[in-house]
Amino acid sequence: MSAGRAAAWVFSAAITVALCLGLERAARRSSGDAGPWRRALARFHDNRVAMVALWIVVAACVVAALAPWLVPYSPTATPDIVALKNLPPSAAHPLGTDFASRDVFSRLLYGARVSLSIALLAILLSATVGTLYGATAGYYGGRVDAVMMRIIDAALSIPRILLLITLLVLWGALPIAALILVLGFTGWFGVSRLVRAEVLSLKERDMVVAARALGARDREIIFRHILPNVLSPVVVAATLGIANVIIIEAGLSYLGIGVRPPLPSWGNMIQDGVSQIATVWWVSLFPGLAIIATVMAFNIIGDGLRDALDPRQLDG
Amino acid sequence: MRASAPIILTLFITIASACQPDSPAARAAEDGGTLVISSGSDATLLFPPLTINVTSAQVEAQIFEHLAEPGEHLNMIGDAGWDGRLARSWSWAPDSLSIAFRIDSMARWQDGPPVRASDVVFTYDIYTDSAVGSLVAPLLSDVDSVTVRDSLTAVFWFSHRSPEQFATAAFQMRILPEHLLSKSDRKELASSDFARNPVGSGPFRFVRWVPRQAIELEANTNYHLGRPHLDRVIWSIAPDYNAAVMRVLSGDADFLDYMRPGDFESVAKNPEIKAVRYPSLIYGFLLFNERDPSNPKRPHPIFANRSVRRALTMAIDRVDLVRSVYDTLAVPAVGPFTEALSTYDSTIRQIPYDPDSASALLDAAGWRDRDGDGWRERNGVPLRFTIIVPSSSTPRMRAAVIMQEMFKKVGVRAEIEQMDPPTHGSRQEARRFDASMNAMSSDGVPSTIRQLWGTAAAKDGSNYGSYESPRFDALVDSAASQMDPDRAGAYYRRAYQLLADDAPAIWLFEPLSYAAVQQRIHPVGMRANGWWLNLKDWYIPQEERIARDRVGLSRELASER
Amino acid sequence: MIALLLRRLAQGVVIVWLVATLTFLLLHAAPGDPVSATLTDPLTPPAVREYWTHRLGLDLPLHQQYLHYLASIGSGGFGFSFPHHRPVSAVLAEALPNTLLLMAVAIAIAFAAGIVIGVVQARRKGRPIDWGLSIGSLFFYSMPDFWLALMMLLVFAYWLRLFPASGMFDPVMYGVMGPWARAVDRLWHLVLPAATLALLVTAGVARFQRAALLEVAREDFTRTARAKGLGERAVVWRHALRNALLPVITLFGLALPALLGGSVFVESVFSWPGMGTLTVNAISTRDYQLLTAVVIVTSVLVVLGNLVADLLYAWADPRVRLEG
Repeated sequence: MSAGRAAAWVFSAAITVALCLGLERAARRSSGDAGPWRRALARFHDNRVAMVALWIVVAACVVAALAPWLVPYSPTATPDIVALKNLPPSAAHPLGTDFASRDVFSRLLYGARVSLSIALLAILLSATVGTLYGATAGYYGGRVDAVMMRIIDAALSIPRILLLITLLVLWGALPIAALILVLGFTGWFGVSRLVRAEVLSLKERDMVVAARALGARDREIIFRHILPNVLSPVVVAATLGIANVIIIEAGLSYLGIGVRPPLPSWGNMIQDGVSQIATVWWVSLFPGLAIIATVMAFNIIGDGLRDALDPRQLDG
Repeated sequence: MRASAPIILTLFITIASACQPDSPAARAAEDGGTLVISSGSDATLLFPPLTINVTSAQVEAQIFEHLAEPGEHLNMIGDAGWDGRLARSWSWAPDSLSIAFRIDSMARWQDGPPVRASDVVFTYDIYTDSAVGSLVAPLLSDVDSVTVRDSLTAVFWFSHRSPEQFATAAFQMRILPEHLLSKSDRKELASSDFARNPVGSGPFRFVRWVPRQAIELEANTNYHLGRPHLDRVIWSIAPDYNAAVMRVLSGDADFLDYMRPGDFESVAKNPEIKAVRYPSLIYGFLLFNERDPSNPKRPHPIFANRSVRRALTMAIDRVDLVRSVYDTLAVPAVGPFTEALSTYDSTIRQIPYDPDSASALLDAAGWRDRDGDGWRERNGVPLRFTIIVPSSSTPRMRAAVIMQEMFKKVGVRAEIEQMDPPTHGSRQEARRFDASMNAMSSDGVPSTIRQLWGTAAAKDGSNYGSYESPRFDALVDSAASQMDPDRAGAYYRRAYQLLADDAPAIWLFEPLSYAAVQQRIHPVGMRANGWWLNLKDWYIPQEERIARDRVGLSRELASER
Repeated sequence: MIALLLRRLAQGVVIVWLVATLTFLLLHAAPGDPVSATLTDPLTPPAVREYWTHRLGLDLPLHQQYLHYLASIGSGGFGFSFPHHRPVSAVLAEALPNTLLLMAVAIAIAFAAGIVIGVVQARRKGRPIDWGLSIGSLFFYSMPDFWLALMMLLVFAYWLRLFPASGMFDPVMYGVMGPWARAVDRLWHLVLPAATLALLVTAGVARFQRAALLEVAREDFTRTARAKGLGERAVVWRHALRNALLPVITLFGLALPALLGGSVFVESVFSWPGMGTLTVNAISTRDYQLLTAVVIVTSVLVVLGNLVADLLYAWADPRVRLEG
């Protein structure tokens, strides 16, 4: 291992530990605090499993961010397509090589980059769109709400994967930005329902009624009083949504309509190995495990957040 | 460093075409047995004029017959090497403007009545009726008419002589039973009951079709050329390729017509399965678009230049590429054809692999790396293009990824755009591409290259890369009008050499076709234009049979006789 | 009750119309059409393409195509599938029962197993068995559908050879089997795909059930029951479970789209001739008619599933007055 790469590994380990310790500290300090978010953070901190999951996700994000400095080989280079292809794991190639003599380990790290950033960006998009849509429907209510919710009902009655397959196949290979858009714009229906329900109950509460009586504008009420209060279900939904998008991206890439080669994503790496899975198993196995680990971690964090943020469970 | 061992050497490989059938008498004892074909797709319908899919074609070939079949060498000029099927013999008129086919008097439709010349006339009428919409109709345009001379003699009349006229008459149509179809509504034939319960005159008769699961045929014991050896043939359908392979590996199926390179290891480890090679007409290439995709009136900024195309060909180490993608399961292609084509020539001079000369040629064409970023450019435009690849084909995808790296070494930036096959097809048709990873299956007719590379097809025909060369057109025209196979071959060879020199595409590989076959199955006479064409001669030796071979013919059918 | 049912059905019709319109727009905005996607041979003469384009009405103006399309949906015929060369309704009639069979079995297994697991976990909250089952269900919950299907195929069909790898029956011996043997054979082929689909759903049900039970456990009536001196087992099974079933019923409605989506992967890995494989196929051949029919039938299934869930909800909890 070159000195530079070794240093990069040490550096990323240090960052991971520093970030996690920082989070721990913040959580511990919040325990005496009175704000609802602080208390939630403290409750989350008490959940050891969720904290471990958080460590895993932080480590994955750091590795993904620093991938260019951490990888032993270029993820797309094909050094010797005859002699170096399909090698089993060894010291030189810790996770083996694939059909084109590319290093699976390097591709796995870059794949983390691609898969995680797609999931994060897509979720950011769907959470935003879903929140705005749901808040609008819930706030205005009546006929507007009825029409907006029928559209959501219709959208939710098509399985998301069917919608995605249709969109992606029909438009051929989309650049990655478009893939993110498509993933984002097919993922907000559930969020908008959640937000609408929350808003419906919020808008009858005193502070909103009072603000309205004082002549505040709709937009002001929505942004100042309502949105901040619907944030916690959105955060939970978004965390679980990330897990979902990672799985969906893998499925789409398995069908050959997700991330375009030679750019590695965990999904298309599995696809690369599927045809030889009985013999060259390492090509598909490791990205598969990476997906399961990451998705599990996000799911655990999501559950932990739900437990921490749900005030009804205060006494539980 | 470990090289991946060429697995093929350790395999027992039969070259199917080399298997000589034993004498019929010796094999009479071999009648019986069940063949299960693992198939990747279902049939769409079983009505030859409207066939658009390969499984349909496989099944129809067992139920319906051509008048005659070409021999092993697929000669399409005149009738040399052709064997009679439904027709026992034929005679040419002295002026070659008509051919009279004599129907085998023993031939019977599977429901009883004899096959007659009027069935041939009726079949021609169906194929050419615009209400039916047959894909074959345009291929029959050389035929003027078909008439009945006597009840067993059908005569094909032609407007002019042409080298391939015999093939057109004998081979384009599978003969249909007039007595079962004459009352049908021509427009609705596709959805008719007949198209799903076909009755023909061939060696096997239809038993059942469970959509997307299985198609079962059974020996036609009254077949006029002697009953087929096998009792039953079943297409077991698994749309997922991995499932199709697994069916053979687990012994649930006997035959799979295509193996991917990766499957060889599994087959090598399984003593019950052999890999059987058969000739193929498939070849792969990287097609260059010589017209600007955004405005087809203008030449392509990169590929319109012949020496740039040659340079790009020189940048690709085809031997290495083929080995990497296919191991030993393919050979580098030398042009738009394969070894199995009657006009094949292995001596066609190829553009060599030579990255240095490639760089020199690109420099000379003005494409240089001026800013030192590793990529060439000219007048500020980078030497960059997109290769479109259909997502259905793993080998083509892999080849594209490897070529991308090879281009990179000479400073050429290739990007890959993967898409589903219909999109790939429509992009090619619309000329909206720079370069395309393509594979073609030749139809075995040499003159077809005119439709694929001729100037007449450049604008809106099937010459998607818009390669235009008057010399090429003239050579193919000359070749296609020769009545003598040798003289035609000489012209074709010159045309092929021109295609190799002008590099309208990089000729990449000719995959060798291997089938995975259970040891007890003896596939006889697998042909390049269809491994299934001589299914009636396949057999399973008595002593090697397993439970499913002993099922026998169905009882109700047996009692009919 | 009947008025409500009617109102719900009317809403359902509106939803299905929205879905139909959306699908129509999507399909027609995309490049490619069924004729050129099916006639892939570059040597297909243009006249043949034109003939079929005209016969399928693909050369009509868009609004006319839309009206034809709505009419064909209304009549239940769904038009003519060019790649299958048959009316779409005939193709669907073969695929739909296969998918429904697979889903029904998977749902039955998943909900039965999921509810039991959830109850066990809730009763042993915080103990090792709760912890183990949580991790276990999370593991399957976090697995890509196709990956689980591939692993099941590899392990049970290929390595252990316990179950057939694909299809719905043994095509070879089917013709000579008696009715009893046929039933067993079909069941045998159902095991792997149904188990895969069930595994994917069980995890979700168990997680949901556990959470719901714990929620109910905090509510008053459970405490009352406990205070009355009822045994823990009786409290859980008689009182808590009935109330905790409500959210699971909701889940049934919610799980349907996911289940139908998952069946796309499971069916294609196991070559199950249902709607999922039909979808993948219809997409690759640009079979507009078939694809729209699949989407519409799917959304009808989901709408009906939700309706059933609502009715079940009303039946399970008399307190709930169904409101529009």
